[in-house]
Amino acid sequence: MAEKKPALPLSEAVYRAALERSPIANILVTRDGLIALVNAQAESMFGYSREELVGKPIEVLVPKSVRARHPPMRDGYFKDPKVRYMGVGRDLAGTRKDGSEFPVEIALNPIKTEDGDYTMAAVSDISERSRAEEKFRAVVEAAPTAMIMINEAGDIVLTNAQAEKLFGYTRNELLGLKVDALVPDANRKGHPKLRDGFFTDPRPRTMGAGRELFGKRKDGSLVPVEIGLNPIQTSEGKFAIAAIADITERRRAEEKFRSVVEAAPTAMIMINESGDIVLTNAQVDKLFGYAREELLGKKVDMLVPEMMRPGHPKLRDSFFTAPRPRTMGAGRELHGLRKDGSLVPVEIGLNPIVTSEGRFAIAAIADITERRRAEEKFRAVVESAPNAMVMIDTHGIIVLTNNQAEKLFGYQRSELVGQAIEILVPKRIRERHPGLRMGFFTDPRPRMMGIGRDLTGARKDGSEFPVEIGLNPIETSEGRFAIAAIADITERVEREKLLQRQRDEIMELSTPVMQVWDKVLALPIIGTLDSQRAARLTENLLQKIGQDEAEFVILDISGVPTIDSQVAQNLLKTVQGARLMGADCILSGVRPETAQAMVHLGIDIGALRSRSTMRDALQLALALRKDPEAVTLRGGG
Amino acid sequence: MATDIVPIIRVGTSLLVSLQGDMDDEAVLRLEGQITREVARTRAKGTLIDVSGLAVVDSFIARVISRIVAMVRLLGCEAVVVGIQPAVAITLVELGVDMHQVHTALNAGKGMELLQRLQA
Repeated sequence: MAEKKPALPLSEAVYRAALERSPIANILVTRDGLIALVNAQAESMFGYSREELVGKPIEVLVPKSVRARHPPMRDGYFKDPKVRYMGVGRDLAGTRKDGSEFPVEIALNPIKTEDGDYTMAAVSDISERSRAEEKFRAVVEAAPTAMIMINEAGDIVLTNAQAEKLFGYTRNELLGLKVDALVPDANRKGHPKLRDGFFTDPRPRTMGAGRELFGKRKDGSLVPVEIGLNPIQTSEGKFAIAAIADITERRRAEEKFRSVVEAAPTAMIMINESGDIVLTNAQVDKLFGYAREELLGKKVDMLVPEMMRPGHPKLRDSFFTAPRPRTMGAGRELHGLRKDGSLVPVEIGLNPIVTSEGRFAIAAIADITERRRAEEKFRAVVESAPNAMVMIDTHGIIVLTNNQAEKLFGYQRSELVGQAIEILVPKRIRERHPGLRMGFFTDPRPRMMGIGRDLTGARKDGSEFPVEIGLNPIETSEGRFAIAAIADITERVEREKLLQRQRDEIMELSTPVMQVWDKVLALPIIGTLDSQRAARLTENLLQKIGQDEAEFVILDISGVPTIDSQVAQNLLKTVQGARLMGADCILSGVRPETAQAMVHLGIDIGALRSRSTMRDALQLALALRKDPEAVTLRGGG
Repeated sequence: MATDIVPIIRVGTSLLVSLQGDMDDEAVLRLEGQITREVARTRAKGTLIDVSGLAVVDSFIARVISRIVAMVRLLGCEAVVVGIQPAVAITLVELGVDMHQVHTALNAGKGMELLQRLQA
């Protein structure tokens, strides 16, 4: 800025240099309104050269619309010259040589010199700032919520379309109002004070924390709202901007939530973080015997049995520290305390709910009296079953057993419950059993255990006995279980053994294996070769191969009346079995009809050698023994 | 894991592998590694696999033995499986396990004879 001591003669050079460096357009105007001096910034701002401006009336730089009014104002200023801004509160503009206008801010400085009175006008182009303001207005306008900006006096200075819609006023109506007009009548009186409070300690916050707020529409109706406040500090003073959300919908959702809770088939209780009951439903009344008013606002602990009550607040707190949906008191039996002092067995599911009003927990409480009764019934059924029964959980722990099981295994019930089921499994299979157990639980369906295998149970005294075990999966709300019905089949096994022995003896007689030469066995098959007989025959033959170190076996089928595909299959199995024992088979006694039948049936005997008579077969066997190379030409299926 | 599962005895140009006890699935698989490594290392011409000491031979182990035989053959070595017990032989046939291309012999003695013939 230029020096302006009146008595001091100015050095033109210094003065100009100072002016020239200024980023502000400086224009020295004479008492008559003529431009006396301009700097470079003024030239570039207005688009004139210095020569074009000096000596011209200042009005060339004033917009046409106000040019006529300007000289009187100028005169007014010179009559009472002091340092001030021009046109306070109004939007000022400058005019360029090309006629375009731009927003400006102008500071006026009176200068007294020996030559007379001057005024130095310092002109700033505020297009940029206006643009920023425009942007801010656009942002406010585009906001999805209603926004209202007020000054410290509570006058609405800025608003948006959403606000117009929300409150039912036009923008111009709103801009003329005190913000208090939008406050419901009941609260309006206190509002200016609250406003002032905000400006004393301006920081972003929610209005009326925890209370229900309403806005008043032009038509007098009220709308539930949530209001966020933000202070704005500008060069023009302090402002507050309020973002106002219409929460009618949310209120409706809350209503819906309440009605859902009310209609729920289970008792539901919602508590806040301090454990106060804030919501219940009709089922709660029924379950606990209290009227709703008796519960709302009370601590939920009143529904907890006295024994558990002292520890309950702490448990509650721990739920809120790590809120996630879960079952209460996992594994333990829970009870609710009725108004009449009686206890009711319950199961409780907990769900956290986070809302703008804080954290809540909602408990769904199921009366499991019936279920308990069913469980009792189930236990009674198990107890009275004629078989030994053992129920285990997925970890193989015995959870239930019966009197029959005690008797069968020689344990007391208390020695079984809580133990791993493997206690009843013979030691040699104990290690493998957990794997099998888990197999059952991955595909749980009713079935017999170890089909085809001989199962054994182990008594407490270590003795073992044959058993048959039926398995049944049970799904409960407490998880998956398996129930095993165990039958002692000692007697049956004994009987079967005896029968088998007798059968064996008969079989033995019908399947004679003879050693006809060193390392050569002959097996003449007489009669029909059914599967059972074929199995027996093979077993005998293989035993004999082992004993006699036989290398060749002659299978004579001349005594077999008919060969069907079943018989042929059985024969080929015998051949394969012998081969695994290192012995080669030669077929003998194939009759013409038999050969035809076998080919017609499509039976592939592979490389199996065949001779028509036992004699030829024996000769072949002896020849093969001598010629080791022939060994590689193996027979077999 | 390169732990040895079974002792492998070298007799001339042949290896003698005797499987014993109750082998679990994992042990059987490791066995493949051990035998193939040993065959390659010793450049054996024959391998005799004695299964008479196994507690159980089921279809899984049978398939593994077939596999081992195939692997050993690929390494240029003949293989003979010996010591299949009657009950095992019957089971394998009933299960339909294909041991077709596997040379078999009753016991180790006969197996060695067969190996020698095969190598000739």
